[in-house]
Amino acid sequence: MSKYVPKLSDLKKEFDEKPSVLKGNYSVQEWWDIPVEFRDGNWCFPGKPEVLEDLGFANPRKWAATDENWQLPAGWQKTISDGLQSRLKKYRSLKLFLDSCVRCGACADKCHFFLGTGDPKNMPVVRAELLRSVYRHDFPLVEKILKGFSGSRKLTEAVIKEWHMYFHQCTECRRCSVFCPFGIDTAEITMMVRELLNLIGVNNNWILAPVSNCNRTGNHLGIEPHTFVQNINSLVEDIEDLTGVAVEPTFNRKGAEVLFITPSGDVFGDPGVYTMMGYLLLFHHIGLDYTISTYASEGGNFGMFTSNDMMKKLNAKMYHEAKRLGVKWILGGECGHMWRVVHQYMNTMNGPADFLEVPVSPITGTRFSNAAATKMVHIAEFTADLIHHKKLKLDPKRNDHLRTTFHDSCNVARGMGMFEEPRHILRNVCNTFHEMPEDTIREKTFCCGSGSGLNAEENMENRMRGGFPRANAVKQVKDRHKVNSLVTICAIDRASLPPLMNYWNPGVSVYGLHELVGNALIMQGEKKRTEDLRENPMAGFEDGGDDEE
Amino acid sequence: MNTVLAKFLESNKKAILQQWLDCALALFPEKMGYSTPVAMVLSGALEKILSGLGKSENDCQEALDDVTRILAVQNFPPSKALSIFLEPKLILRDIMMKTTVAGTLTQEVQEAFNSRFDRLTLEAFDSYMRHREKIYQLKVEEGSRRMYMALRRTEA
Amino acid sequence: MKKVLMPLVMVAVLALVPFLGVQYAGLSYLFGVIIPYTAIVVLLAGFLLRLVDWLRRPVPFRIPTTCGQEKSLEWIKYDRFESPHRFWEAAARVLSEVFLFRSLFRNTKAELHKDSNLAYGSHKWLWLGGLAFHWSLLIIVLRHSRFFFVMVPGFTEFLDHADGFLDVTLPTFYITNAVVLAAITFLVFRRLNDAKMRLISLQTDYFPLFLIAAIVVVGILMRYLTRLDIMPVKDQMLRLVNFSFDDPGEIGTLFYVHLFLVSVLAIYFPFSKLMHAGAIFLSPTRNLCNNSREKRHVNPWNASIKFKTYSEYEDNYRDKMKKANLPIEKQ
Repeated sequence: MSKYVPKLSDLKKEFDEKPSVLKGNYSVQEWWDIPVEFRDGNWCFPGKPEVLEDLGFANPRKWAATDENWQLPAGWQKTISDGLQSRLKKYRSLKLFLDSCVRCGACADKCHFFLGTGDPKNMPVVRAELLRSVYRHDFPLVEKILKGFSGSRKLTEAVIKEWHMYFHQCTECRRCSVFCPFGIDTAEITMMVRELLNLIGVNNNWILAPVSNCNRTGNHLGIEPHTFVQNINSLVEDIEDLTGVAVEPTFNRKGAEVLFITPSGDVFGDPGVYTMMGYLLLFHHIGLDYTISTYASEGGNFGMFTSNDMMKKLNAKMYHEAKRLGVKWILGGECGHMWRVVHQYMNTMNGPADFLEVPVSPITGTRFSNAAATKMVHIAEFTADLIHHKKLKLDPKRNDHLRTTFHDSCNVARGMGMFEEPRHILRNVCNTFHEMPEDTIREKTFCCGSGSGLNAEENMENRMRGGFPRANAVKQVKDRHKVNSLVTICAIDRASLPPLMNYWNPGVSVYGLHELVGNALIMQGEKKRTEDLRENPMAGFEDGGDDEE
Repeated sequence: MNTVLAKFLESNKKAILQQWLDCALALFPEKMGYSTPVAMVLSGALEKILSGLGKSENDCQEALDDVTRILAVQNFPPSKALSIFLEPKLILRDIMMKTTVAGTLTQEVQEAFNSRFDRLTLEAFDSYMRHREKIYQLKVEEGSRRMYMALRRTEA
Repeated sequence: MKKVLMPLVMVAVLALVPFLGVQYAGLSYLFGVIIPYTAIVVLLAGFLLRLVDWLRRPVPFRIPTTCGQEKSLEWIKYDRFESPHRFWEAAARVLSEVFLFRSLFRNTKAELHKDSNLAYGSHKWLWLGGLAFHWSLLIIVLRHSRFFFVMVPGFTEFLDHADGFLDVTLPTFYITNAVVLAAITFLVFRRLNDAKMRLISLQTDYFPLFLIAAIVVVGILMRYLTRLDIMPVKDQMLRLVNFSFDDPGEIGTLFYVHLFLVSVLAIYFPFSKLMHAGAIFLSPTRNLCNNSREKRHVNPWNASIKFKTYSEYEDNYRDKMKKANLPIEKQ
């Protein structure tokens, strides 16, 4: 052997001494012994003091998760403990989900954050145990006597830090709850813990700032009424430039038949605005009598990621405005968590909506009996019905430059159960549609990794990790079927999937479903269309030239 | 030299790959399982890198990107992330020590292998940095996407 | 592995207690009468209390996890059991969880396919193991009903025959005995074998598995090895069923071990994760219909909140709204 190669004995010694990963000695630790480390890219900035003051939330101060001292308010343990007690009284779900887990592990590898990070505390079962261990310590009977036996621990500041980290690495997507034999829903636990954390001022600015904006101006982005109108009017101009058709949306108009509400991202952000153009074209195409409100100008509801009371407060505007305007029913745009709120919470929280009528499509006459009480219809249900009754003039060839796949948004999938309507629309507005692998779509869909208010820029690395399983599934259809367009019906997806695709699968663009509808619609009196709503050339419609971007 | 190395790699590929993959997976908090998307991508990419090594024209840029794309967003420092490109050298020594004299490589070939991996480590560093920069670029882009209409108005 | 050894030691000690107590201290009355009565009272009262404790808490929101197409437009087929619309559909959903472990059946595991594409393949071992474990336990418990009736009921006879159709030993070999032991071995093994499972398992997860294993093993020993005379056992069980506090007759010590371990299980039941047996019926993500937009769900404590009304909004933005030609309520 040469002098460059170390002696066998040296190597052996090094191998024995080095805490090598090959030896598999990483499983001696219990999960509660693994320290929590806040690093750049794995936490969101905390709520700004002025935002907290505006909302009347506890403990406004300047702090950061990386601080040693989090400046928790005096008596915070009692606040948490009392808060948990009162929530256990109010929610059977919480009590049941804390009591009934058998740690069978069926959920363990279902979480996109666990799959993307390998961090054991991202297994849904452990995420819930973070709370359960404290709950067992404080509450039930024998477990108190047999502490080591049932894995209980005291509520300390370290536990709060752990909660902050891991309950902000859960997107409330409910995928684990599909696989749990008892239907334990980690989203429910995350919602409760976030409520508790807000009681002591441990929070996330990316969630609280939109909440405060929404409360003040009517929408998350804080757009004031005149700007809101201005934005939509410039989209109207774009539409006229592209199609030669002048669409005429109205605002805050009393006596309209339908109130249309969509997430404000569709009015402000790219690529949401193209979806908005799609809606406007559709409504013009069928001559819908609708209006848009600048007061209830937000479909989304970041209150849901804060507390149930805040969810209710922000949601209340929808019915309030529908009543004031005297519309017959409400039509809702493409959004994920907005539809969880509308479908499962709105009528319970802010109903009954007696002042509205059971929604009936004025074009097809279809009565939406599934929305008979809440009186709000999803745009995909509405459009699917129009297509089914052949009320739309569509040219799917206009989307031939797009080879699509469809991303089921978590909340629409597992909190509402809408799978077929968007697919029916997609198949009718484009010619190339390929599904991602079976276990990554429909009720088993993978989250974008940025839901539930985690799509802060400073959280980018975390989001890329959490979104990896989704991106990986897209990559498969990209490789196999040359898919270049990821179609979705969620505003958070439209904001967060572009960077995710750009990082993992460059070349795949993100589209809202109704953007494709807008492309395909043959409008009355339109001029020759050569470009899609993004002003990209359509394949086969150009005046000669390359159809590639 | 290439043929000798290629032959050696071919006959020991499975063992090297297994150990190398184990090192990569063990970077993650609680060793990433084999049946995870991360493990799948890593194992595919590492294999491509390894099988490209013996060949004279070796272009494993894509595979290298696949590996560093995952590493660049993880919760551990670059030094730890890129350490996996140092491991093959140790693995090779390890295997050499266990094999018979007939199976060993000449010092020349070993050094060729090592220097190839040194170069690969530097290439991986480039690739890693590209992905880090991409992250910052994404942040900027996302900011402007979010403010799309406002920016448009100010431009107009 | 403290968390595996501790429960093992606990079960061993628990098994030793009645053995010593009956064999050397002559405490057959304690172990044959007092403890079984206590155990049954604790089990029934505890189980009931826990159920009541859950039931008295409200279900404020209708939050089913929808695992299939909702009922919407008429021409779209909806998934009755994964997205139930009527009560009986939701009931069927819950029962399919109880009897068939439907959700566990969905279990997947990521795997690499030949075309080097990642797929999440079906992974049914946990489902199979869990199903085998629970069903054999149920059959074994039902089989034991022969000890509680003077005349052996018909269904017990039937179960007995079905379970013992592999008539290879004397006394008859029961398939469920083998299945339950195999299933327990599998369930323990999977907790030890996989790094993830090792990490999430607590002592309270191993303890009931070991306890049930011990009960089964002692039962098998009684039946096949020591060939315990079952007539006095049946006499004693009949006495217990008839609320008699008479002294138990002369019965082999192993029986007391078996009975004591069963009593421990009964007492442990209501205070532990074993209550999942009751919880599974109540889970709001499974037992509610997905019809919240069709029928209003009422929250008994619906919090009263103050939201920002339109008129407050208009007051804030009146001038700007006027400029944008938006209709306003007040000039």
